[in-house]
Amino acid sequence: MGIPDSENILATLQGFLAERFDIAADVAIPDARLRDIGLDSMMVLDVMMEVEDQLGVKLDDVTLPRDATLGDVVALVRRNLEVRA
Amino acid sequence: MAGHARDVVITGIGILSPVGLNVTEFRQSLLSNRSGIQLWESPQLSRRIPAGVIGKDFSSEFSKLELPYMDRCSQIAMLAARQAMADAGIEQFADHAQRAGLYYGSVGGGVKTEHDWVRQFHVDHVEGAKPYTIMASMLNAAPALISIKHKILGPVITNSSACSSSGAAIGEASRAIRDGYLDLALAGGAEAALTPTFVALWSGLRALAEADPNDVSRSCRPFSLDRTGLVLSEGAVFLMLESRAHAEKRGVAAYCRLSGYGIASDGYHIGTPHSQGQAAALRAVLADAGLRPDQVSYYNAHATATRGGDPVESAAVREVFADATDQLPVSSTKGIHGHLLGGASAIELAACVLAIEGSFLPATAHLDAVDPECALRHVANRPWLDTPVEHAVSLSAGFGGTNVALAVSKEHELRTKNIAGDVSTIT
Repeated sequence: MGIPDSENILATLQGFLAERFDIAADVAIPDARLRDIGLDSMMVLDVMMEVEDQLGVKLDDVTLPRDATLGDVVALVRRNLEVRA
Repeated sequence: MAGHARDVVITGIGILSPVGLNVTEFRQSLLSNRSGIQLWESPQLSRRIPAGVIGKDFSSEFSKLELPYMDRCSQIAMLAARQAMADAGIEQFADHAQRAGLYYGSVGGGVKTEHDWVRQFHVDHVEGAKPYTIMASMLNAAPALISIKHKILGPVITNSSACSSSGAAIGEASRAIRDGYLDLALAGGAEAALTPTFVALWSGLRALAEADPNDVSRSCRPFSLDRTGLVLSEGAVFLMLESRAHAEKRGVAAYCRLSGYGIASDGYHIGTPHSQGQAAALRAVLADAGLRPDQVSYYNAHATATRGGDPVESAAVREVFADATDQLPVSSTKGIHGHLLGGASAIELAACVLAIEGSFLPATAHLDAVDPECALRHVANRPWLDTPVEHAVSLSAGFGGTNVALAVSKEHELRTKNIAGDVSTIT
């Protein structure tokens, strides 16, 4: 199985954000800052744990830039998957 | 006696309870003596127990971004706090900076959250909780969330002295206002602990009431010869306390004055109450309020309907009120709402406030044959209507031995307000 591309990772995140936090997909876009869509650091941690469960991977590197965007989270997941591949 | 500017008045009440989801409904239940006690069961427990259940889920009141942090206890506390604020005409506290506080009492805090997590750990073998779980289960989660939402920037303090928790919260808040540290405070308590583990914990004590075989709503019978124990309940109650000067400045009316606070500990046993400690709290509240025993118009008892507890409190009342005992009307409203634990003192003080507001004495429900060891002047089965109340006292006694007594008195300086309610419809 290949590494999911960024679009697939984004779709996974959007599905989870909609289901868990009622954050609509048209709000949860790559440029959206996490804090602007209502996500605090613990919620981001929850998102990471969900990604781990859904993709069956362990995210070793969970470093995000300050004032991160959803696109930064997508990049983080992809970065971890590439290291593992 | 002329009022003092720093006297504490009560300008708002919020209640979510098994006998009403707001103060008006609660008042109607006191007047009709309607019990909110019903059968509670769990697939994990073989025994069904009577409990004071709020048969409603409140999660739809909050967004999904708020809910991860909100145990049911925090949900009902938040809603009761909002009611009290709305009743007092306060939208937020930010402008009060450190002059506004929140004093809260609870026994278990986020009990359901903790129960669910422990189950995940032991049954599902989950080794790491969700990031929010620790915060949602904290004893001080509810006041923290309320303070964040409504910008209460002064002291936000959680008291836990078992069944007197919210009494201590209210008392300490009133002292902070009276001593000049605060202008206003939300004070009260909450409990939402009807989970199999918590109920089974209590069952170990053999102090829970049996379900009445004919009518479960009659299962909690304080002072009664045939009482079988206490009934666990859930609920949240907040009062808005403020200095008279502050209420006057805001141009708002008050229900009454919070006129006294007495706190005393038994120093005796962790699970057995002692009349000496209770009597000391009662003497302290009378002294604090400047009242003689014969001036108290109504006494709301802690009386949980246990075999051991009710006679101890009765003895304390007789000791303190002495010759005035025979004239002192007494009731325990737990017969209809059960034991709210962390919310117990607060709901019972609310009953006293409404007694003053509506000139009636709430009754002890299901009191057909009084235990001779609990001989007092009981308001039994029906409230006494058209009975002016100048001063009311409520006692709460917690496991561990912390006893809290609070007094409320008719307010004669500020405008007073009433709750719309039709007393004449009550039988």
